[in-house]
Amino acid sequence: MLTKYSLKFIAIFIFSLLLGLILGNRIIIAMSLLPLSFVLVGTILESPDDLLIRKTWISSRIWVGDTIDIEYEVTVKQGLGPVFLFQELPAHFALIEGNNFQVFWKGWHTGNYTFSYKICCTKRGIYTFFPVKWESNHVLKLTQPHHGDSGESVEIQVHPKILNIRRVKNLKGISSVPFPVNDIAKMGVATTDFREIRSYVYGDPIKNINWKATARVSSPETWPLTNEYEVEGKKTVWLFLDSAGELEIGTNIQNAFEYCIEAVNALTYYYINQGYRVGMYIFNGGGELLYPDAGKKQFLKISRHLLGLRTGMRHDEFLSAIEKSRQYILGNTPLCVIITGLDSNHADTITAGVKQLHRMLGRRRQKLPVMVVNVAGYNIMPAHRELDENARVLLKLRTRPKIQELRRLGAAVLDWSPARESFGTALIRQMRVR
Amino acid sequence: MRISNWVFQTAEVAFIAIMSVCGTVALASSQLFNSFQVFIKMRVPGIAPYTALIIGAVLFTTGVFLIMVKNRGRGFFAALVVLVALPSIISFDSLDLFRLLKLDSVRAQFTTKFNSAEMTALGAVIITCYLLINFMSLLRKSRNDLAVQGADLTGTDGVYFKSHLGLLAITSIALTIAVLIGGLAWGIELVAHPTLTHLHWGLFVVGLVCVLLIATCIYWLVSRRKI
Repeated sequence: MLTKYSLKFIAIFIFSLLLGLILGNRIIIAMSLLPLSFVLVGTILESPDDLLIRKTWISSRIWVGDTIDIEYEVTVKQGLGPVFLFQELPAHFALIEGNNFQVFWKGWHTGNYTFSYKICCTKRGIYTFFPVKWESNHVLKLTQPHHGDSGESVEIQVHPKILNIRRVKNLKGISSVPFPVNDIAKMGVATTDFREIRSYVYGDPIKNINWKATARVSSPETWPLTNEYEVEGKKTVWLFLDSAGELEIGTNIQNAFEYCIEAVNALTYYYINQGYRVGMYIFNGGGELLYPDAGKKQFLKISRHLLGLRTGMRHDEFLSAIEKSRQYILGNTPLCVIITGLDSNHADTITAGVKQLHRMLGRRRQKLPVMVVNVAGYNIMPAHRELDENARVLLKLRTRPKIQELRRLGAAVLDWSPARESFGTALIRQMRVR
Repeated sequence: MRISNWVFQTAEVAFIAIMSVCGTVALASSQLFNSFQVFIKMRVPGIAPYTALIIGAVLFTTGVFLIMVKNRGRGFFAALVVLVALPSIISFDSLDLFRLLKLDSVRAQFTTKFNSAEMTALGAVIITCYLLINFMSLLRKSRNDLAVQGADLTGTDGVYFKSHLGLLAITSIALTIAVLIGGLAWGIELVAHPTLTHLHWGLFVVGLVCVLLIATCIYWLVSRRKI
């Protein structure tokens, strides 16, 4: 199919030829031959076609802040001319190195090219990578371009950052946070309740090897798989996550709510690794309850749930959240962790909720097993003017009485400023080193 | 290989200059220009010797302004150059329209000092330069669009350079083919002229249509072949 450029020259040829014939002018006829022969020679050359795009493997599970290498091997067999390759990036992905829109020249021989770039994911969520789009043009745009796309869409889960657990585990000290009353060692007596299948490690009883599951793995380097069972007397941690819209202080990518999610993910990862059962209630967003359970499966369940979590417009659901979680709180006497921002106008509901928890858990003359993680929203955005700095100080001063009141009630308050320190560092601050 | 953008832009300006010179030279060799120069001499005697230079400069400035600054009006500039060269070109008409319209005095103005071969060469140079300028501007615009869209500049410059090589190759082949066809026609004319003069003119019309049909068929068959 010809383009407007080639049609223009054909029109010039016809007009000149007719004019030359009418006037009997050999010079005009000779001049008309040039555009014609130009279009004829030009259109004999075909634009590149028959593209083969092979992609490299991309992990379907990555973490916020990870850099991903995207690489495609492109082979073009036919034609001559430029080839354009483009891959649309999902929202919240930043280009670190290279370019997701590249141009290659296809010469006479088969062309092999590498289309590569590096990206970084800045926010948790489930994202779709669309196939690479390509377009090939004629050298001089005398014929219509060929275009298409290659491959299928790939879905990627970007999980919130997880805690550097080794750093917290290796620190010997006394925690100021009380742990659940029925705090039994991690290596309890195994029950018959199945937890999960995992790879065999030295020391596992031979009877626990799941031979059928091992046989199903068709890899030549098969490693035995063992069944893992729940142990008796497991400790429980109950997380209350505030999803009020007021927490979205900051940018779309960096705001208090995102840091709350990061904290929840870190705590879940930490406690699950310690062998705890973890349950969660998300309040101020309509109310969602995740039953307490242990094992990697539970971590994945909570982590996946956090991926698509959005804020709600409510700010008074905390008391009803405690009521709805009552049976789990009374039955397991868990460590309750409330992840919220105390610098909002509705922080009083948190205080009321902690009082309610005190009534439910604080009867045994022991320290209240409640920890409030306060994600300080006033430090997230950098101060541009002196007044911004003053506003930060005022907000901090306003939050201080609320923190003191919570501490008076017996709750441990972890005041986390995400701009200044990581969540792991904030957790370590809770320990008094011996 | 990467060549700076200014090299290609300088080449474009050079082609505009060549087109302007060709148009002006063709005009200056015509009788119409001589009459015009006499007219100017009577009114403004001081600038009469520079008339051709002024016309050439105006043409060149118009070309540079339209093509390099505004990046449009390439066809208009080419038409302007052909219009300037027209008094010399139409002096080779077989059909004498002015004599038919009894405008013999006007006919006398449309004569040139150049012979047929020289005039054909000038015409070929004008059209070739127009083809080159047209596609160089198009490639420049494509490159700028790609840069705005955020394409990788190293790749874009490589493609830009190789596209120019392609343009040069296609233009050279097209020019060679046109010269071959012209030469072939001239040879056939020399050999067959005594025989052809005895044939009826209707036969030529039918013959031309047949040749065009055969050419279309050959072209269609060739263009379907993969490279």
